[in-house]
Amino acid sequence: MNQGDGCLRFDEELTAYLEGEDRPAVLRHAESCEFCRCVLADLEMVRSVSAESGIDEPSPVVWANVRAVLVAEGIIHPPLSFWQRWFPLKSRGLIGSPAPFAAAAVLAIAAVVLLWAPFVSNLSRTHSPTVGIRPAVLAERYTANAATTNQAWQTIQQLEQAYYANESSMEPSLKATYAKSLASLNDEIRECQTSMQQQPQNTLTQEYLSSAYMQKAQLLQSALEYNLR
Amino acid sequence: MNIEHRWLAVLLILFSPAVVWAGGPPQQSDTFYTSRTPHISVTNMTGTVVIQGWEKPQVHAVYMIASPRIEVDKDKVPPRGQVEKVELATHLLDSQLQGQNARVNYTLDVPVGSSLEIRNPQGIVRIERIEGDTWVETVGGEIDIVDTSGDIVAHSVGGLIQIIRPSGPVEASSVTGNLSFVSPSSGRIRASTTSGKILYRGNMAASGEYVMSSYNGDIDILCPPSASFDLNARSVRGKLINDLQLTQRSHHPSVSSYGNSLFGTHNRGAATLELTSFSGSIRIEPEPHQ
Repeated sequence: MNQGDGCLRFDEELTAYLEGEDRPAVLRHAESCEFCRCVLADLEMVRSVSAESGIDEPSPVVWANVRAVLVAEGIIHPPLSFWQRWFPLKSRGLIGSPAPFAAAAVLAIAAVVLLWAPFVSNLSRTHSPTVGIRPAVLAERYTANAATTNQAWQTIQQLEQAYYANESSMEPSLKATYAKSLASLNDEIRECQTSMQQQPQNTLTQEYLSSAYMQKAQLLQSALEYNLR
Repeated sequence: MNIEHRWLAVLLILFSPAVVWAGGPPQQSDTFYTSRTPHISVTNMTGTVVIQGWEKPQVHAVYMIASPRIEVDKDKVPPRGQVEKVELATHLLDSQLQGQNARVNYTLDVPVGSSLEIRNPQGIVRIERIEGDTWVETVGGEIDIVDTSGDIVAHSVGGLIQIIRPSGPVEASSVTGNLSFVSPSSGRIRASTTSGKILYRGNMAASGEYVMSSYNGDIDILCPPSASFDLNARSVRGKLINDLQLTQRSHHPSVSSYGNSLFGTHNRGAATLELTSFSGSIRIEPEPHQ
């Protein structure tokens, strides 16, 4: 088996391996191929970060997104990619080379999902006992969460930068829909942040804020992926 | 030019592609012989996708294509036997095509037992009389789903989602689009939108779960006096307006950990109705007589 076949088989079996199936060929190939070894190491790192964050396993969406990045960057070559099935025309010409932006976006989404999970779970943990807890304690919890929030926020900002860098190449009607939705989510985030400063104990506002961040990340990802089609 | 050449010239002009396309988009069609429960997938860019269930074990697809630089890709159909899967996809041969020039309208008659997977970023999707599962995604397009009994998952970034008489579980979400549920008999509906409105009009199934959330859009629930549900309504800043006779568990109009909240039981409380908003109003009122 030559190196190319080995990489192809590695790619084919990688998802199953990451899902816990016994795929010795993946490890065997990673030992001999530096490139695939790096890919595997990156994915295992994502998995271990998620485990440390208290998540049992990242959702299939995360793995699908990471995989989409690798495909977009040409690191792995499945027989037919998702977007090729979506739109068979390879050069839709919306932008010159959207892959790097989308790749960054998809990795950023994975980071948002991973970073946000503990934040959301913290929120759910603080959800019920809020009644009767002093505001100072709640404010402290909010500050502790703020560090995580800040990281996730930076990630979303990166996504947003990539979106605006590619916005001009989008079809006008799609661009308008995404712009309107983005404005709506930005308003929601701004209003929730203000509300949180005034009432840090308001768990419903916390839920709306975290949900708005997630939605914004998903919306930006959707817009960037659209440019790949 | 002699008379023969003149006729030849006329024929060439008449049958030139430009003239054919100028007469309106041409119509193509295919028939696929399928099982009674095939999986149908349509991937379009812009244009309408209309799908209707029928009793025949076959898919009849009609495509109206706006440009000769567009093809409809389809899976190779085996020469014999029934297919389990039909995949149709708009294929732009010219990367410069956009908007109306990239339009393909799909009209499909499919077996009622079909399951559907539809992507149509910029166009309307209308689905009627389907018993299998339905998954639809648009960006700006409207989604209409009527008389279906399988699971429904419908997502649109900015389009209206309207679901009429569903009897299977429903999950619908949009960022700026409105969501509307009319006469459902589903036992489970989950709906969320950021700035769109949510309208639920109809009764609720016993043991049903109805969870609806909006950010600043209003949520309107119109149900018959016989509707039986436990209500859990919360809003940070929005008004809670209830015109039904509720047995209230608690009502804190201004001070609570949420903002405004309203918990109560209507009739025997057979279903669960959970409504949340940030600043949109939540109204629960009797369905007007028709």
